Amino acid sequence: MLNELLFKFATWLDGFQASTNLHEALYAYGWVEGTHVLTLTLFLGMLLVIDLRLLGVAFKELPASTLMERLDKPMMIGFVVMIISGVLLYFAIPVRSTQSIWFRIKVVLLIAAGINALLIRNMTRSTNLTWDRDPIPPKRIRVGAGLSLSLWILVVVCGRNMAYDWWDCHKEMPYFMYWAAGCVNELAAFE
Amino acid sequence: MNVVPFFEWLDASWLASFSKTYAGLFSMVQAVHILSMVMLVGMIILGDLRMLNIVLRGVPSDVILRNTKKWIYIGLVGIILSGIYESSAIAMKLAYNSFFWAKMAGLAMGIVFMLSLRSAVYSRAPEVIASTGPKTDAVEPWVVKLVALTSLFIWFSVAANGRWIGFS
Amino acid sequence: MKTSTLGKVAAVFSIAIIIGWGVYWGVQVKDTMCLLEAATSEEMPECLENL
Repeated sequence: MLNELLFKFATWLDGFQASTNLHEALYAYGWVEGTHVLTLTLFLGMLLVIDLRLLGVAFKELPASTLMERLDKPMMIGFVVMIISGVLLYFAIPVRSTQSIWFRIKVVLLIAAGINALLIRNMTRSTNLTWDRDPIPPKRIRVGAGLSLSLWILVVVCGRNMAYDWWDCHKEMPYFMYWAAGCVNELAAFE
Repeated sequence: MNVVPFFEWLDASWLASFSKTYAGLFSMVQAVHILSMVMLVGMIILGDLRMLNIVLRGVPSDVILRNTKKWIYIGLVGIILSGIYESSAIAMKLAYNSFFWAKMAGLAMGIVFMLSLRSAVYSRAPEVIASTGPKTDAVEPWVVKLVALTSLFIWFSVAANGRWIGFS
Repeated sequence: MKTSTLGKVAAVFSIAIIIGWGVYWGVQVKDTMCLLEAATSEEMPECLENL
């Protein structure tokens, strides 16, 4: 049901001339993809600095709140650029992306990373962090930072793997994979 | 210097036959390469933006730079090891790819620049930038900022070239 | 090295890198654009002749 809806949505997007144009203009597509990857250094780079501090393995001389508050802006600038370029990349190749197992895992991981970030934000928002200057923050904070880094590493892995066609719908795969990737037409053939 | 024989040797090596066989592992190594780049360039960007007084202004710069060092080296090792693995799979293509050579030149220049001028100038940055207490002997602020911009430019071009090896 | 000397050396090298590397890299970027154009369009782009 959800698969059909997503497929319809992707096909609808695919009908736009702009989608085809962006996909076929290697030129523009290359720029968008390059921006998407290069902005990682800003977004993930700043996230890495914050998370390493929260893990208690680097920048231990500085209060955790200093890094979190003051690196938030450059990190969010990177994040916004990544989202915009990411949406454009999806828009250029909507149907294949929708039916990509990697893209699906990536979206789930992104949502998980978002929830995790909110939880960390809640735990660190209080005005007087008792551990702010401690070289090693409390365990729950370290667990959160570790989760954050792991989730983002997996997001990058999924993003990278999207470029490969190992589990594209047109391949011979077990039923489960067709279902997981949402290969609507191939699934219909089974019925 | 003729480097083609080296690439022919690499292309015929056991590493190449290995890297060409396992596509799944290859994509994992590519991810390691990207993640190492994030660590390396991210930490360099942090130092450069700090010396431009764009981020963390007022926080002692020596603390920040000292902390980035270790991760820069880890990133460099990661990027070089995964890079050798990746290049073994397409050695003959790379030997004649001008982007690859621009990237290698940029990488070498970036490392030399970082270890020499960047580190020397940053450690002698004036109080308005460094915030580590008054100094009698310091480099002009505009020189520090120029060095930061140069560093950002070199590493951006290296990373951008990396992206384009795939396209061309 | 004296700090004043270091400042001068750093400034000269930085400017040289930005200009020199900028020009070299600019040519690389232009060449790729040309190759991409050649790969996507039916006709041979003019830039190919100068490559």
